[in-house]
Amino acid sequence: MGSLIGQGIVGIALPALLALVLNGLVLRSSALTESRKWPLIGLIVAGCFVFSYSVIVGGITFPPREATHWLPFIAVGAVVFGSILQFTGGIARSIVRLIAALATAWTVLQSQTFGRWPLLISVEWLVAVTLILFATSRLIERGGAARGTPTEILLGMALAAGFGGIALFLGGSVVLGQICGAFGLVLAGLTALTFFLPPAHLGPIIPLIYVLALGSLLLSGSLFSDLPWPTSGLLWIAPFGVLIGPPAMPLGKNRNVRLLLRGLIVLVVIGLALVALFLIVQPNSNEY
Amino acid sequence: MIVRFTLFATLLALTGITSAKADNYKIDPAHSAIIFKAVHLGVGNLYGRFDTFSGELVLDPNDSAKDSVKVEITTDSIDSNSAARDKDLKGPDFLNAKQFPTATFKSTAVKKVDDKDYEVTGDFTLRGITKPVTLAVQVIGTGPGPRGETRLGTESTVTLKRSDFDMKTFSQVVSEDIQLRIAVEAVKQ
Repeated sequence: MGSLIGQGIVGIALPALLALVLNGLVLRSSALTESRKWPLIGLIVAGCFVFSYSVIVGGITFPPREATHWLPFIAVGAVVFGSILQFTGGIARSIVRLIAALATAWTVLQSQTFGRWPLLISVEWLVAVTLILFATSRLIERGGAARGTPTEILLGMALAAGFGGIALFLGGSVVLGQICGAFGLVLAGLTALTFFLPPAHLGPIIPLIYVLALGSLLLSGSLFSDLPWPTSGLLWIAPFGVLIGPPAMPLGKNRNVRLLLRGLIVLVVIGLALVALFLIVQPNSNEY
Repeated sequence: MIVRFTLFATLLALTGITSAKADNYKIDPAHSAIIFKAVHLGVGNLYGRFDTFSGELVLDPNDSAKDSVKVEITTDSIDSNSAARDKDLKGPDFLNAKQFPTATFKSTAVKKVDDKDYEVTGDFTLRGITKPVTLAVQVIGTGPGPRGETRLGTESTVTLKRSDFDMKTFSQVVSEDIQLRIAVEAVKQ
């Protein structure tokens, strides 16, 4: 059992710590412009996600055969697509975002829907998930841009991913739960850093990684494990709790109070998600 | 005319003997079991079973090389005497039962060792991965059932490496080797 704890430290705590240090160095760097910092931070976040996945699952499967095998590729792909988004505009930007959302929806859904469910229902699912991923990444990006700093929306994402890990763990997949928990910790570290080293804007890369990675994790949990759909849905909308009300002032005590209140709104939605989980699947402690 | 008819009938009978049909047996789930054994934390043996499975055996009385075995296991029917653990075993961490609802074994060669023992080589497919395995099969007995049907009982064992089937997680808790024991009673069709 000791080595199981060791795996938790290497697979969850180490990538979170590594991301905290590296992201801190990038955010502090004066040699890098803001637009150069986010692709680097995106690479660090995705790299730590892949590292965590690799340790917890026991390696990366190539070529991927199952929906969850795609997770590391989705994280890295999100950095690539996010970087393209950062340097494009207009209709091209929407097309790139749509391709990223469609590719992610396809990788998760193709094994479970097409060939098993009626074609029309499968297509409906593909379209619905694509649109949700597309719209959410856009909303988070805009929400982050509308605030004085990206800290608020990052806090919402970190809380949703962290508690998503707990929900997945209790919903029947220890592996997905650990990966999601590690992702939440990485985002929590980034949130803390932006509190002390506030960047001017969030950019599209982190929201895209968050949306595609967490979306894949929650979808996999609900499709292949016992994570209830209402829990997934509530966790999905939870970060938007921080967007309620007028934008906070960039500095000052008032900002901290508002940040705390918005964090509480996110926690209430997450609490509802966990209540739904306990009411629907009544999880027991995982026993091996 | 009578001589001709007798000759024809004799030929027909002889043909029937030389091309005697292989016997088809169907697994009777009510008198069969598929159980597995894993070592837990390196300290104890943990047993579980699959409740739903089906299969058939084809036995050629004249040529054991023509024998064949086919077994299909419903992965969602795993039962390890703990509902919480079963949920995990059915999930994406282990069997991924929703994406891969069945595990199958199809023989490719049957080798007779002696009157009771056989080595059955075949393809075992789990989680969409197919690996060649060899089952050590022992014939327990054969005889009539309560309705006059012919029954055949066998017991087979095979040890699988779970990492061969992409189940690499929790190596500190669950052993790499999983022993599968398939005890079946099959009814001649």
